[in-house]
Amino acid sequence: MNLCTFPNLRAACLITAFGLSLSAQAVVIVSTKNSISLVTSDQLAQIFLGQVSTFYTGAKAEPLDQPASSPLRQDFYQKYLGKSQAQIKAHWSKQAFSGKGQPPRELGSSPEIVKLVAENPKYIAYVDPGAVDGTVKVLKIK
Amino acid sequence: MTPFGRTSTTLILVAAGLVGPVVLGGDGDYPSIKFSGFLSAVGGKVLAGTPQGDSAAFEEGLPLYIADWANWGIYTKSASLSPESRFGVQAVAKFTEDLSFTGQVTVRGTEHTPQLQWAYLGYKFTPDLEIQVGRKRIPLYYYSDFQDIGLAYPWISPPAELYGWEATNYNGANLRYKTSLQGIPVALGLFGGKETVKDDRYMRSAGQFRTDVSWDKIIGGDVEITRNWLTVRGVYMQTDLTFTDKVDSGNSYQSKMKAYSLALNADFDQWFVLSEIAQNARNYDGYYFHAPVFSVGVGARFGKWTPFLNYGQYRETCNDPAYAPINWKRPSLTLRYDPTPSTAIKLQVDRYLEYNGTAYTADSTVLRISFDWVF
Repeated sequence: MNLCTFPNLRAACLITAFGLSLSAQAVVIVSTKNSISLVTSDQLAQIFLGQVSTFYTGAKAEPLDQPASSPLRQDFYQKYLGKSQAQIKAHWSKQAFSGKGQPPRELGSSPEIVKLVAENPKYIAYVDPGAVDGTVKVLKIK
Repeated sequence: MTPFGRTSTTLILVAAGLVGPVVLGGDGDYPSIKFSGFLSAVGGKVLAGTPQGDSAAFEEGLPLYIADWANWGIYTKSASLSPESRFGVQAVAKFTEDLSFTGQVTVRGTEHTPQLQWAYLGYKFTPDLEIQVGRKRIPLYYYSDFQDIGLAYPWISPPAELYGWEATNYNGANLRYKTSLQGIPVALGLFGGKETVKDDRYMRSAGQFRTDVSWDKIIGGDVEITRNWLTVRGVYMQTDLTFTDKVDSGNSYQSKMKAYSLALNADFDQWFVLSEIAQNARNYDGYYFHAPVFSVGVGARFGKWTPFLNYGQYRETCNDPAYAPINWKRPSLTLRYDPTPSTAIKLQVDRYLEYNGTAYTADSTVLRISFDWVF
């Protein structure tokens, strides 16, 4: 159970989240097997909203999400898509209940995400920079 | 009247134990099954209004406000949870990465027996091209295929001017293709099929005892383009419409119906505009019926608060002097609050105003409050 879901503890969690985000802004990664090295924020938004399912190279792209309560997730969507978690949830509710798409697969932590991304060039994700190793590469964002 | 039957109460209790989508079989492994769902509890009443026309046709009593034409959700001067409350569970079973089955069951305050709303097979030829075959929502106007999902829009319900149809689901097939043209996402859809609504409730209010309404040879297509802050969607649909009077077989008639709409949505992060203009044309042997409609609204996000102001208009024209057209306009104001990303509480006041009308209510002021949840 994530304590941050309790309203009384939320203020404390937000302070912690802010503290973390000062030292650890999310970085966007793909597998070293993927040929791309940069992505525009438009392309990033289109992939994470399910509007396109390929990289600009034409290769298959599939986004991965951090857990719903993750401060990295809130920062990522706010910074690159300009959207709150409520807006993202509304978007995926529309897609899922009209049979047009399912939200990105959600994993438990940055190390788990790095492990999966390394295996398959179709994945794209945002993680804590501390979790990045030689199996994945950090994309430049234009 | 009890707002929910026993079955639906049980379903809600089961769902209340869930805090998010439930995935069995492991995310990313096949086969897998994922359960998700939605709840909208909506209560409301007519605060004030002026009765008009044939009150005998409405067992609910006048004045009234028809919020949901398809499910015959009607508010009167007595507060009620029945007209629009609904609960649904959706299961998506994936057999492989490309082959899936989706089923959705809903219970409504107006229909206590659980209804199988959707049941279709989906197959992806490529990640961008999917065919779906079975029973599904008709993807008519912008909100049609997710009009039950209160969390996904700013009002308590999508504008009744555009979303008042006797048929909302169909049996058939649809093809969906996503592509990107010079960096701009484009989605194209084609759909076809048929639907029959037995004992149509609207026809009963119009004095008929039992009328079945069929939409045969439904065929349509839509295109949706998203460019940063702008979303544009256009749709065209045609169908062979038959009203069959089950009591007096001499009183059945057919028409060709065409419906088309253009939705323009602009989202500037804090401010956003939602608009849709549509035309519904029915051509019978010797006479025609046209209903141009539109809805436009503007909202602003202030953290968890989203006030939204909307104006909708519905206007009928018909060259048959025996037909009394319904014309109305409806300003509304909604205040939405999101306690969490998965829940929303809304308060809405609608002012419904008929003009040149002889239908049922000259004017009414309606107050509604809702709680929406998606899990």
